[in-house]
Order: sequence, then structure tokens, then C-alpha cells
Amino acid sequence: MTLLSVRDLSVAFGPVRVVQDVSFDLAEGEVLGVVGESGSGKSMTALAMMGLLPAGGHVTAGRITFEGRDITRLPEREMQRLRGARMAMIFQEPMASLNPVLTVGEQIAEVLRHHSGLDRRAAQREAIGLLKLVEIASAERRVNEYPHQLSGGMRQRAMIAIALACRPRLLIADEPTTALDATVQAGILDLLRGLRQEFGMAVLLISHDLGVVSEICERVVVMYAGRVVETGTAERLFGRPVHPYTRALLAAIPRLEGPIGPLPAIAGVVPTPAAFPPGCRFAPRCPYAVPACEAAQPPLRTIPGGTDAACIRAEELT
Amino acid sequence: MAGASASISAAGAPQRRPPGALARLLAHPSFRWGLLLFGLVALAGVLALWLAPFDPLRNNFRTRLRPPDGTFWFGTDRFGRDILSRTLFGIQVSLRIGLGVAFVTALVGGALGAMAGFLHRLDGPLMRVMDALMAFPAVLLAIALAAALGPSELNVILALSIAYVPRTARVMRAGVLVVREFPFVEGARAIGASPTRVLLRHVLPNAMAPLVVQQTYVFALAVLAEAVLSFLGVGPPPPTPTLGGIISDGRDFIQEAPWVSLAPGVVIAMVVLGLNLMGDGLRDALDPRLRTAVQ
Repeated sequence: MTLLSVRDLSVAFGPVRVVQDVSFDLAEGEVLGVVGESGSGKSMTALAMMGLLPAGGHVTAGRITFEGRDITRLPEREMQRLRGARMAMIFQEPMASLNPVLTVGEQIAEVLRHHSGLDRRAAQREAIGLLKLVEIASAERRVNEYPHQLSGGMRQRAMIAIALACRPRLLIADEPTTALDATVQAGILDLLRGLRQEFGMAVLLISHDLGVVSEICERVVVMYAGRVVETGTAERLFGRPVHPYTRALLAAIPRLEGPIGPLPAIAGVVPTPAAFPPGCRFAPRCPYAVPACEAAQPPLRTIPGGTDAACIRAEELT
Repeated sequence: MAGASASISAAGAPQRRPPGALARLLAHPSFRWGLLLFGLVALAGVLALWLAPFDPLRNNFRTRLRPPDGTFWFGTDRFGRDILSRTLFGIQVSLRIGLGVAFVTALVGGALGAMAGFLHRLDGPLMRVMDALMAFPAVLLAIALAAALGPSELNVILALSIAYVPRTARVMRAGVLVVREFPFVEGARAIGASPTRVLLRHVLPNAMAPLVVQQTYVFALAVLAEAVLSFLGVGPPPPTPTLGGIISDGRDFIQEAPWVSLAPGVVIAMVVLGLNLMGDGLRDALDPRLRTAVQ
């Protein structure tokens, strides 16, 4: 069953459109990866879903249907009831995402008391349980500690505990492992995978790390310059990527085996939203670009035997 | 760094907690000196009833303008009143005014500053009014207000509070502007906290430190300003002893009887210096960047 459906979503800051015509679906219990470079609009898409766009940002077009309701038209008070209870989000910076003047336990208890109406005692007990759930050792002690007394990995686990406190149906994880080192990263991913199975919640994982995405996602959306350029099952997308951008991203993953050479990189940078090219937005950096690419924005279409991709030369290139 | 120390304490001997804010404060040399100076004065004021050898209000024309001696340690004024006793009771009044002003400005200025910093729409109008108030020299504004309100202790507190509110509001606003951009504020919104809750529970507690420090200076400024108001005759009415009032009494006899103004003057200097030193210590102890250095 479809839990979340994003249709033709556009987000703009004044005249500048940072997200354009983005569509995807997320089924109950599914893990969807959203990948792209910095500035591709993936975080703005997530914040639009939470109704937490920064000042000046607006959803200018499209619908976000969550549990059957279009949440872009929901009053703020209703959104507050959803956030933290039905949909939760964990952020990139575990170091700064916890309130330094409140203990970890108080912060977990806050969500529980706010949404579930538990009393102080019950919330505290539940907080200890949640810390155990996210595999924090000696939870009884940690629950009374302040964020600065925890390591980076533990803080991210505490963030996950806060996000999971009310058993949300949707967890949005915005680069949850980016600020952590490799071993801690693996631990957090394992935890997310396990928790998803336990609670059957859907996860929207935003990352620029294809390795992370390939590990736990069932389907993947590749974004570039505010648009979806390719989407499909993880198996197909990583096995037979169609769009030149996806292929370039995959080629840029450093490999352990084989001769050591310079790291392959995609020439150029993501254009700024104010200066998006009129045609295919990847065309200026694309090695396969032809004049027709710059004429019009290519629509997302199903490529036989492959994924959905927005490239006019998709068939010739695969 | 936090992670390293945590793992060491977990592996080694019983867990050692990092020193708390109070311990850090007391370890700070300038805070200790400040506390000593201010504490001495405050204690003397609190114990005035027991310490004062004479009634601060009783005139005695046989002992007018006596220089300091064994009976009158700090001499007497033109009505024969004991300066020591008057100074002790004057401390009470002056510190009440200082505390009152610090409290009222923290409350009003803190609320205004927090709203200006948190609510975009109120920022412009509120801060322009504060700027307008700040355009007047604070003491001048306080004199005008105190004169208009009439001389009484409460009115002095009111006048000085109005004069000093803009400073407090500015400090609070600046703190809120910084803190509300922190990721944990977004995190609080992401768990469904209402704007009021975000402000009161997540933003304000993290933006209080500069305000606390600022209020020690406001306290000191208010004690000084009260002296000025009393000196000019718009403070609490005579014969109420206030530090500024006693100095003002001594003005006419500064050549013949300098001791009248000396004792309250020294006390004001101690209070202001003490509060400023305490403010410095507080600033260092509450600044997270300096926290490790103090440890």
C-alpha cells in the first residue's frame, strides 16, 4: 500500500525553483534511497515533506500525499501532530542535533509526553527502553547524560531513538551517516535496517553515498539539479544504469581492487538553481550531450528492460 | 574529545564527571574576588539591623559633622546622624533597587528580545522602539522619568528599568538569533514541537548565558544610576538613606567634612567592581568555547 506519494512537487525560494516536478511513491515498509550531489534538491524535497522548509521556501506546485492526505495543504497545527508521531526525521549533524542543555532522556521523553501523553515516569522508563533498542550500552546511565558526554555515533543513535519514540510510519533520514566514520556508519546502517524490519516503517534515505544506498535501499531516486533524472529498483539501477549522470556517479565510486589511478570525477559542478540550463540540466557536463539535449527538458520515461530515466538518448546509450 | 574522555572513564576508575558550572565559577579568580567584594557589601546590608550602632534616621544636633572616631567610625553628617549606620541601611535600599532593575529588565527586556529574535514580523517594530529608547542617554532618560513619576524607591526602579530595557532586549535578541539556527532547533520542530515550545524549551535555555552576564552589569549600572538620581534629588525621598543620597548630603561640606561622602562612595565602588568581576567570571564559565580552558 502506498504510504507516501509525491506528485510533481516544486519548491521555490522567491523566483528560484530549487526542486521541480519531482514525483515518487513510497510503500509501507519500503526503503527508498534519494541520491544526488550537494545542491541537487534532495534535502529540500525531504524538508518539504516534513513541512519544515526554511524561511522563504514554498511548495509552489504538486502534492505530497501521506496516509491519504495532501499534507502540503495541512494547517500548521495538524502538521505538528504528524511530525514526530507519524513521520520523523533524523539529521546529518548528530553533534548539533541534540539540545545541549537537556539530558538525552529528557529529549526522548519530550516526544513521548507530547504525542503519546505519557507521564514523566512512564516516559523516562520508555526512554531507557528506546536507548536499549538503538543499542546504546548502559542505557540506565546514559539516559541521564547530556549530549556532550556521548560520542558521535551514540548521539546519532540517540537521535534515532527520539525519531522512533512514537513508532512513526515514515522515517526520513537525511544523510544519517555522513558525519560518522566508517565503522560507526556500518553500525548505524545495521541498526536502521533492523529497526525497519522490526517496526515495518518506511524509510526515505537521503544520501550522496551510493555505497550506503545500495546496501539498504530497495528502490532509488537519482536527483540532479532539482529534478529526478532516473528512478528504479536498486537492482536495476545499480546493475544497468541508464542515465549518463547515474553512470558517472557509479563510475566515481573508488574501488579497492584493480590498479590505483586518479579518482574518476564528473567534470564541472552542479549549476546553481538561479542558472539552471533550459534543456537537460546535466547536458553541460554530459559527455554524450547532443544539441537536441539543450533544446527541451527530457521527460522521465520507462526504458525497456531498465529503469525510468530522463534522457533522450537512453536507448542508444544502454 | 568528549568521546575520548568518556571511554577512558568507562574503562578506568569510577566515572569522573566534568566539573559543573558552579565549580567552574568558583575556580575563576576574578569571580572569586568579585564575589568577595560584593558579598561583603551585601552581607553588611542584610545584617544592617544588627550591625548598625545607631538609628540611621535620628538627628542629634550635638554630634553634627563629627570626624571619624571611636564612637562614630565613619563620622556623622550635618544632622548628627551616624554615617556608618546610614551607609549600612543605604546598602539595603541601593541593592534592592539594583536587584529590582536587574530583575525587571531581564524579564521585560528578555521577553521583548526573545520575541524580536524569534518572530520575524515583530523584529522590526520592536527593535526600532528599543533603538529610539537607546538614542537617549540612559541616565538622562531615567532622570526625566523619575522626575515625572515622583520620588520613591519603586519609581526609581521603574525609571531605571525603562532606561535599561533596550540593552537587555538587544542582548537577548542577538542570542536568540544565533541559537535558532542550530540544527537541534530544527530537530525540535521535526518532532512536532509548537513554535512556543521550541522557543521556551529549546531556544531560550541555550540563549540565556549572555543575558545572565549582562544583568550583572545592569545591576552595577543601576546602583550607580540610583546614586546619580539621589544626588540630583529625584531618588527615594529623604530621610531614606541611599548610597547616592548620602554622597549628595556630603556635597555641601566636601571641604570641611569629606568623610560624609567617603564611606558610601567606597561602598558603591566595591559593589560595581565586585559585580563587574563576577560578570567576567560568569561570562567565562558560561561560554562553551572557554569551558575546556577553564577546566
